Amino acid sequence: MSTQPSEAVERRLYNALWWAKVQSAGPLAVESDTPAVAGLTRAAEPDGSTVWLVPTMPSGAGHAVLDELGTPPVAVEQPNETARVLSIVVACCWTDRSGTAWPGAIGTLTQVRAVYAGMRGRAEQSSDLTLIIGSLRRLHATHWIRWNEKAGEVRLGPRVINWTAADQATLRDLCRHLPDPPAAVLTTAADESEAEPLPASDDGQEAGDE
Amino acid sequence: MSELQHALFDPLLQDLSDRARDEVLAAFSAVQYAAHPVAEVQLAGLRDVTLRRQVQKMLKLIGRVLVQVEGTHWTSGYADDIAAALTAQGWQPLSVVDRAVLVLVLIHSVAIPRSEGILTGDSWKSARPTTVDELRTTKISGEERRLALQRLRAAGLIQLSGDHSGGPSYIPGPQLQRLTPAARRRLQDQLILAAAPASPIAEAIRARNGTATPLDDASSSAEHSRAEQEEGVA
Repeated sequence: MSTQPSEAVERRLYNALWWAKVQSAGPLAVESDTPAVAGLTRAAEPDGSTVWLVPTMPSGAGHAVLDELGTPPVAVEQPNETARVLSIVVACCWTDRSGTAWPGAIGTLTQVRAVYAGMRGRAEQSSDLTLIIGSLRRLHATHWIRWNEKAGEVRLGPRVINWTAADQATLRDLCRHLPDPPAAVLTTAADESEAEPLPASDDGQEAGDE
Repeated sequence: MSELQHALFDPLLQDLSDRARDEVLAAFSAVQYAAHPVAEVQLAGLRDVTLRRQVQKMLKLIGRVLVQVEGTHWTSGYADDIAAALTAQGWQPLSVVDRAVLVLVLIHSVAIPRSEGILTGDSWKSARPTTVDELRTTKISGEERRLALQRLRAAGLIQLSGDHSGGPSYIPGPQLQRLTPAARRRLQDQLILAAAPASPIAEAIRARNGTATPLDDASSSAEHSRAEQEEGVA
């Protein structure tokens, strides 16, 4: 008999440690040869270099119970703006809506700004960019999107891999109600100095931090 | 069964009746996702000892445990053995600046009032606000601090206090209530080691831990904040 812990115990510890990591830091990008972790869905990067490990809950577990209890989840700042910008990023980056949302295509800040103004039904206002950037940063920090601030480019984040067929049907319908984004002109390889300077501060509410 | 299909939880859930499974999943979700601890009376999965044991088992699979708060409420937190294993691996999702700002809030809102006898118990909940002035240090730029405050608020580690009389001020966030009793004690020890490293109580903590220097997960921020305290700029 071996003195090592049994394989099942080791496996449980392996799973628990990875789960603790994704709960404390959000979905994690790992080498593609990292062994599977039970319950963590793998979202492969388009170039195959890495995969994201994304926690997945069984049906019946989720935020819905909080509504029933009348108890809030951890608050999101500027929730309406943040949700609005997420829907715009979906419209810009989920270009092939016959398939799944992940990994989607690269969208641009120019597209997001255009759809945002169209959604509001008016020309862009100076405060719009500050609100948009604040929302993009929040969504990036929570892995709903990947926001490359220097290039002004955005992609959907690994969390969207958990969107079900029903979620995607709802989002397809939502996208139909949003103004069509202009064609994306990618700047990833362009000289950084050409990029438009972004607001240094986030949004109005967070200015209260100072 | 077909609706479950979850590689990690199915072996536990498939043995439960539909009703028990619903209650367990509701309680599991509530303690995992609610910003604040949930009242035991609200959920059968927390009230009923047998169902609660199933919730514990689910949490254990993902490195977490149930944490009881004030005798009547429950939340979830990281299991001590998992936290220790991750700390030993050097796992640290918070940046050093974020930890330093968090420690300053904990010192002003909890540690100082506790040392003055204003706060009792071992909870990290406090209504004593930490003002922006108390967070000013020469070690962290205003912009770095502002961004750290945003991140800490988004993570639920700090929150704005209701007292706006002297400008914005902060209190510990609801996530601090997820600390297990052992984690609360570790954090208290680390703050003592940071704020009064030469004190007899710090010496006793080091002797108990069998260490000459802090090795815990808060060590970097604790040292950072100690430097600030010594310079009298915090």
